[in-house]
Amino acid sequence: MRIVLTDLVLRRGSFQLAASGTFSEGVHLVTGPVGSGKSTLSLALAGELRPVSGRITEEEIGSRTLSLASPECHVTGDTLENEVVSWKLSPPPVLEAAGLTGRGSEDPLRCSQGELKRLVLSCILAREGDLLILDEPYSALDCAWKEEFSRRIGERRKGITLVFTHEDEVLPRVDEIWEIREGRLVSLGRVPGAITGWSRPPRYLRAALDKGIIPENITPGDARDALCRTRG
Amino acid sequence: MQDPRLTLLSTIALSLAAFASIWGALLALAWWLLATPRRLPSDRWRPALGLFVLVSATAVLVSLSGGDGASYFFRISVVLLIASWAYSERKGGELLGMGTWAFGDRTGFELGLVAEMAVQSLDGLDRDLSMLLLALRQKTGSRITLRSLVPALGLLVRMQLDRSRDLGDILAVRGYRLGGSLCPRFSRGRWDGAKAVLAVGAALLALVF
Repeated sequence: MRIVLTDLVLRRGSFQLAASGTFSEGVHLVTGPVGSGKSTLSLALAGELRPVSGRITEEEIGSRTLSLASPECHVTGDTLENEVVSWKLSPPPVLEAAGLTGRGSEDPLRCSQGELKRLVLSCILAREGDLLILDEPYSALDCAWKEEFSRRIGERRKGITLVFTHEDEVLPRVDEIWEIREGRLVSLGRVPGAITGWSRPPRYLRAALDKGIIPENITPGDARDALCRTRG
Repeated sequence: MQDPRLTLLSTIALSLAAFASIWGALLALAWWLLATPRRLPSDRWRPALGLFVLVSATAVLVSLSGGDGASYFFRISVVLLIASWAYSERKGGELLGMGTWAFGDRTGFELGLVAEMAVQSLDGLDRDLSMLLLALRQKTGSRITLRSLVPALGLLVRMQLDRSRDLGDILAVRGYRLGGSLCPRFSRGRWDGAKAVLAVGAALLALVF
């Protein structure tokens, strides 16, 4: 199972993004500043944006799901329970996973952005798809929920998971890191080797790298462990 | 065209010309071929197709009721072409600038602000709709039925209302009451004046002859 990008050029308005590379099975972090083209690439990989040139080749990918940055765009149910059902899932476990137990009869659009994001992410992660594309999965979440969803994303070992984010407080365990630099997707390779090539790592990783320590992975826990081991 | 005032003048003149007669529509089409980059909105083929179907259906009805359906189809198609060009030429803030330039800091500013907010709302609506349809396809596969579309359209209205409320809150928090001061500056392309004169000329020819 893999996705191959061959000399891909994407355009939205005056913005242009070039990309080449292969996404194999595992969790991939695609990072870059706001406006660098992460959403553009995520739309193209979800088959929603036609490339100007080049091609995207999918191998052995049966199902794919794109999680949009704005959770309200996903809502079609008139209650939280019906919203979960609209994803063809059973409501009780999903509502529990989203921290919304006992609120199944509430109107989704009366929920806060954070609650809605938890619900949508819980629905999407509960579906075992081949390709999961998460565009800014941490937006609107508080730190505790960022950590919780990081853990869940990092635990996904089946299929291809692409995390598009500019988040720098909490990140999941990943297999590969990609960075968008000046309109081009750059593969930094597999973790942990990729961490040293990262031009804008989160502060907690930077703190470790500045001391010459390379953490095993990119979660805050990995950076903490690496620093503690050195001190020990 | 760089000067939004001349773009607006040309749009009004050419729309009048195209609507008035076949010859006016031909002149407007010739103007579009000569004075614009002749770009059709290739990424907007769905709404374009919808408009084409609508205009075609109306033209058929006009023909069935004894009118000249072919003429109607051609004239309205040219009006839409000019409108598409004008829409692609617009830039954020120019309606506010034009309103203030034309009618002053009070009434003009108000009119310009309302027009600016209306256009921003249309842009927002367009973005929201494409995202909602995309999200809907995730759940329903590639098939979007009327039944699945109804809640999405309700959500669209709600998102627009939320956006309007947020905008109202921002204006209130910033102490907006009535009018405002603005010194709009407009840049002008080398051929802007000549293009506008040709557009007005086309309208006069179409209306007089």
